[in-house]
Amino acid sequence: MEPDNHLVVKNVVKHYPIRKGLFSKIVGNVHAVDGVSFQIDRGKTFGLVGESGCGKSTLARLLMSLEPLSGGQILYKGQDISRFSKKHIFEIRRKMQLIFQDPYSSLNPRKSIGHSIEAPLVTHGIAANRKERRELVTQMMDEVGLDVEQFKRYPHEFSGGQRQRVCIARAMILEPEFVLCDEPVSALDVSIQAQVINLLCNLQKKRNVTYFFISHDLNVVKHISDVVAVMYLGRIVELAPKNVLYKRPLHPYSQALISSAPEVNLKQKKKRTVLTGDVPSPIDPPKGCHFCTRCRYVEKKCTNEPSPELIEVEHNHFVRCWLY
Amino acid sequence: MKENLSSLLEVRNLTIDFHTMDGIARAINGVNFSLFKKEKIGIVGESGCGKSVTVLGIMGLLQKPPAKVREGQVLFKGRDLLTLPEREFAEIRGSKISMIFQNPMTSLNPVFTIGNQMGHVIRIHQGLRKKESIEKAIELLQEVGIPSPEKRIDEYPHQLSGGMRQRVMIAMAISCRPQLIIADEPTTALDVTIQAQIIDVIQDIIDRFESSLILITHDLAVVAETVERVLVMYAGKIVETGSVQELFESPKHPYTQGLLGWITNIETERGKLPTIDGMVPSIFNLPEGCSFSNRCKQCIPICIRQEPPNIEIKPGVLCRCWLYSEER
Repeated sequence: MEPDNHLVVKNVVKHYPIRKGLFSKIVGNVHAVDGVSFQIDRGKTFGLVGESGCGKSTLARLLMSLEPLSGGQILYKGQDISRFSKKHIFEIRRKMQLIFQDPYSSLNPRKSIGHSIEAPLVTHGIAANRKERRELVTQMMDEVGLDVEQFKRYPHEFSGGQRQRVCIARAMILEPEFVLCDEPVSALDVSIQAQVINLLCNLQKKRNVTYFFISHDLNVVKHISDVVAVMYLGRIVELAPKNVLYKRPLHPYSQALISSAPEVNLKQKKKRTVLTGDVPSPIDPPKGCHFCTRCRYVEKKCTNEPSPELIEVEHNHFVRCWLY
Repeated sequence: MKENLSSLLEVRNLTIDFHTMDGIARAINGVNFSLFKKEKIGIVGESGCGKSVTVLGIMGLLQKPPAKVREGQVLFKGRDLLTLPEREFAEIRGSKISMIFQNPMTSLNPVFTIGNQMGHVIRIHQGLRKKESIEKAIELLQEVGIPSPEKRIDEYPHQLSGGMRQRVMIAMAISCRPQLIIADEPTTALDVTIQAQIIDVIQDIIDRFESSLILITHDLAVVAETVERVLVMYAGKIVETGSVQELFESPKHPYTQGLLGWITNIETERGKLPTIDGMVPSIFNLPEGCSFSNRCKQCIPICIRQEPPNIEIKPGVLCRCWLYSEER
């Protein structure tokens, strides 16, 4: 295995059973994540886009071992963390941290923000005593642009952007190697989004962390990522370096997604490929290609035969479509 | 005075306060604008800047108290809506002016079917019988592109997807062929591909019905694609007004410049994004001078002392900033 493969995900599957009746008989499965594979290099940013309900957040939970897998493997630096015991997971969490979407609900309103940032240090027994911990916390607060005076303040006294800074500080204080950001800027106003994205980029440069960045905002993902994956109904349909993907999307879904993103471009009105219909239910996904119900180029093959594999069309550009 | 004749809606010096336990919040402060027939305008700004309060004030939907209209007029075809008795206002609201809200799940009643809710609006405003109102509702659902409306009419809101619900909201809003449609963040809760669908539906409806549109959003890109004229709001005031072209090609106000700097940069390359430092001032305690002065990179001494006047830079381009004044 190459040493720079920081995280390798192999054919990960997650099904949630639907139970019914007296004996909780399993009547069906929600195919939340259905065979996802990719790898992330150290110090790079992997962007994941997709619409709500496509399995982005479930995938995030699986990567962080917050849920057991239904199948597949997650290799973190060559170790299969999906088979780890609780104790092992606890240790690996020090290196893998999370930043959530909503900074309002992910901070304890009864704890001062200083305490919140300090908590991971206590849990993992880092730093010998309180004084040392405080020092680390003030350093960290300074790094994310929070006033050290605010140590004793409570979350409700802060604005959304500042709260997200607190969450970032809390995630970064353990000096993680891998940080998963689940829609970290979606809840923030535009002028604040820019501040938070700059902060994340700076921290990455300084500490060489790997980001796994989830968002539904294509522009944000385009800005921050190195490699972008497009997810549809539990599967990655296209995976490519960002410039390639945004310039020449190959999968019909990525094409539609990228063309529907509104853009400030007055000279040239974009020709949109507007998709008809809605995303099918993940309980009963279409038999062949998952996208066949909305695809413009749909053929017999797409609906009848099992879904195509992720094929490397050009160097590093993977597409899951019969067209290629 | 020629302007008065063709303008459909004119908002004059609208000022709304909220009287709360923590003191008086100045939600909007002297908002002035007019809207012509068949015109599409957009109001953009960040959360808390007063976009929604402005339109709720126009619609008379604010709860009073705590809200209080301190001054101002809302002239709809020359009649001041704010002084109308509630009964007359209720006749206009929903039939001449109607509104599409952000979250279709919370603005539809979960215990009534779609047909029931739509029929209700139609019966009240048009005096149709029940059977006719249902037929009309089916027709409307067809107009907004809902497949097999005869079936959908008997379904409950939870059976529809987000995009479908928003279409139902639009169908309801257009049921009386309103002259003015106010859309408050109609696509914010939706996914991008669905957002594109809904924007197309709204555009199409506005053009076909020859209505006017006020679109409220925080997404500058949506505004750029949909409307003709833009009002930028900041801390309860309109800081810049101009046509879409004018605004996006040469933004005047430092705040607009900041917002656009971010959006054009994020669409291009990786690198440091230009930011607007600091935060929006609290509306409980607005600064004495320009409300943007504490974040402005081009701040000059007068900005802190005195509120800037609304300066007409070109015909139709207004900006509330001292940089363009000769008196500074």
